[in-house]
Amino acid sequence: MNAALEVANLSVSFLTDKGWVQATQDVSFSVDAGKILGIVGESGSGKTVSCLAAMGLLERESSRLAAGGSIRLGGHELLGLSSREFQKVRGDQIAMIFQEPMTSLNPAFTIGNQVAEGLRRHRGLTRKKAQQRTIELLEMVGISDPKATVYYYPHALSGGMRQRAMIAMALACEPQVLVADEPTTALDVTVQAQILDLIRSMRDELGIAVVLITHDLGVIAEMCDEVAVMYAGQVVEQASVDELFEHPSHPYTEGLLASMPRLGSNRQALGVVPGRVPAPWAFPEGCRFAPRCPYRGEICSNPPELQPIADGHTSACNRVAELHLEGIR
Amino acid sequence: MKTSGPDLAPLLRVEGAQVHFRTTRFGRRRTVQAVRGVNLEIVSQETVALVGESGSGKTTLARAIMGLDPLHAGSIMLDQHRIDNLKGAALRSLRSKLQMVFQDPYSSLNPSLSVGASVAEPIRNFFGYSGKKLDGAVEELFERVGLLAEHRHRYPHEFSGGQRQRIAIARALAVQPQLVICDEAVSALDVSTQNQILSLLGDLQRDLGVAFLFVTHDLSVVWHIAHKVAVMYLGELVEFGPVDDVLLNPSHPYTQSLIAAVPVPDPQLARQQHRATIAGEVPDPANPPSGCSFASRCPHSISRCSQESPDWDFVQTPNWRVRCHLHNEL
Repeated sequence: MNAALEVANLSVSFLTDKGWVQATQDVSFSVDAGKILGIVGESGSGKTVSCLAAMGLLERESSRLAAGGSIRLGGHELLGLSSREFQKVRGDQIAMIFQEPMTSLNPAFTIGNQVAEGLRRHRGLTRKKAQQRTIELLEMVGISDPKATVYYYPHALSGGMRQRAMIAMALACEPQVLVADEPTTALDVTVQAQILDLIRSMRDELGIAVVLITHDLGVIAEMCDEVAVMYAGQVVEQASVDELFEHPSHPYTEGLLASMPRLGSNRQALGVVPGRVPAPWAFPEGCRFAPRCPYRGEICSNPPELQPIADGHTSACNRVAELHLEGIR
Repeated sequence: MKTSGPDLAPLLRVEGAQVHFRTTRFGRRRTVQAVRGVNLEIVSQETVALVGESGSGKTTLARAIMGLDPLHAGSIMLDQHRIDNLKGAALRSLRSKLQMVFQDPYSSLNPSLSVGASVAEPIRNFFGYSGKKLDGAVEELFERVGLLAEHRHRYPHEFSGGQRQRIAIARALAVQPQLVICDEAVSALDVSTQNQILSLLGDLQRDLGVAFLFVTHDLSVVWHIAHKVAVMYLGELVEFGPVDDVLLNPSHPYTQSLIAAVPVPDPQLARQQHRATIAGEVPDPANPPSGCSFASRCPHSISRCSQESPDWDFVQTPNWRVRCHLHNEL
């Protein structure tokens, strides 16, 4: 069986005033129907660029961008598609929701108009049928008065309601894959809990595959089946969620877990990964995490490869066999 | 990282504070009651966290304490002097006791001044330093907040978010304030950088004895930094007490639902716990409900809750207070 979305050896480079800069290198991940894959890492780790590439949202025909590798959606290669061909896929078979719904909704069109756009374009529904379906969709995502809401403009809705409208828009054509880029980061915890519940129940009811980008390991623990940890443009560890939290096998993952503030935990134990993610034009040779790694050794000047260390668990650490890294238990 | 603050006369005392805004919405004039009768005390060298959802009025309260928004009613005392009605020179001199650090240091630092000049400005204005003496003071502040002194000639865009926040902290500390209000000061940072800033704030409190009012929506941050926590809902405080009590045994149903909504960073526990999410969002502050402001979303509310506004009541000790008719029964 094919994975719903399979990204293999994806490398994306941009031409900047510092020359060609590689934002992601050989990124591979896949997600099956009905599963949630989490991608976690600090800002600048390449999470968003990977997903924008999968959505065809980077200007691929521009001479300032180069992408290599493979992005397969239900077995079909997306990476070579022209923007016109990509438009047929995007919003239909793969859809995306963003962190800040106010900037991704068009302030000049009503909610109904924007949700219906995909239905009219991809499904060829009439105006009337599209509106009917829009009302059903808004109801499905828990908007309380969907008949009135179709006539509202985005500014009249709260942040949580806007994100629900975005989800309705993304799910309008029943895509196989939903990419959610920090969908709850701008929301209050109470509203975040509601939106996470909604994404989970949409996954259960519609059987879609979800790629969830977040920097919050709490959200990862609650939502995901599989997790890919990214650092400086590379996937450094991939495992099932339980395995990752209990047996992290990359020093970066261990550092992230230790620096997670936690209600009721020991206050002295709040960890810190010293330093920060280097800029893409200053990625170190060898292991990119080495300068921040408490376990670095001579071997770390060699670039590590992502290697299987257990069933369904891979790590890109040269010293993984010697290290005893601490999980949450 | 923290010790409990010494028992002294309060450094800051907010009494019955109300802040109203007149606005128009859809062409209709209305009055938004952003802060509705808040009492709050902060002892010197103590960190009080102010938590609540967006729209709860926590930033407005912080701005009112800074004198950035006028009070409609009530009073604010700092160090036993009334500060809510100050103007001109008196307001200016208040700035040396009370400072603020904002969420996004990129928009609060002047992009066309070197960061050293930004930090030097308040020192020159308030202490009249110049030349070598001013330079020395700036260098010392840079080292104090964990930055290299030679970086003071650079501009804000050359720094990362965490470093910019250190610069904003240095600038706030330049006038040696007694109280610093941090409004979501670590919310925009990656968790590791956030922890570095939290640990810096802890060190500064220990070394300089400064008190913090920490406005945030992140309860796990509160756990790590605060001595006391004040929970705000729709312009009112609903629970106030020591951080261990309030966060581990929340007494108000609103505090309980806030804590229940925090994702558990443990996949096994997360699966076992069925999270009771509260429905709905904060009601319209232009049109607050009568009775308890949380009644419309509260899973336990009875008819009394929507009629009668609850008074403050002690939970176990006088330091821990809650406003809920039912807190003894829940």
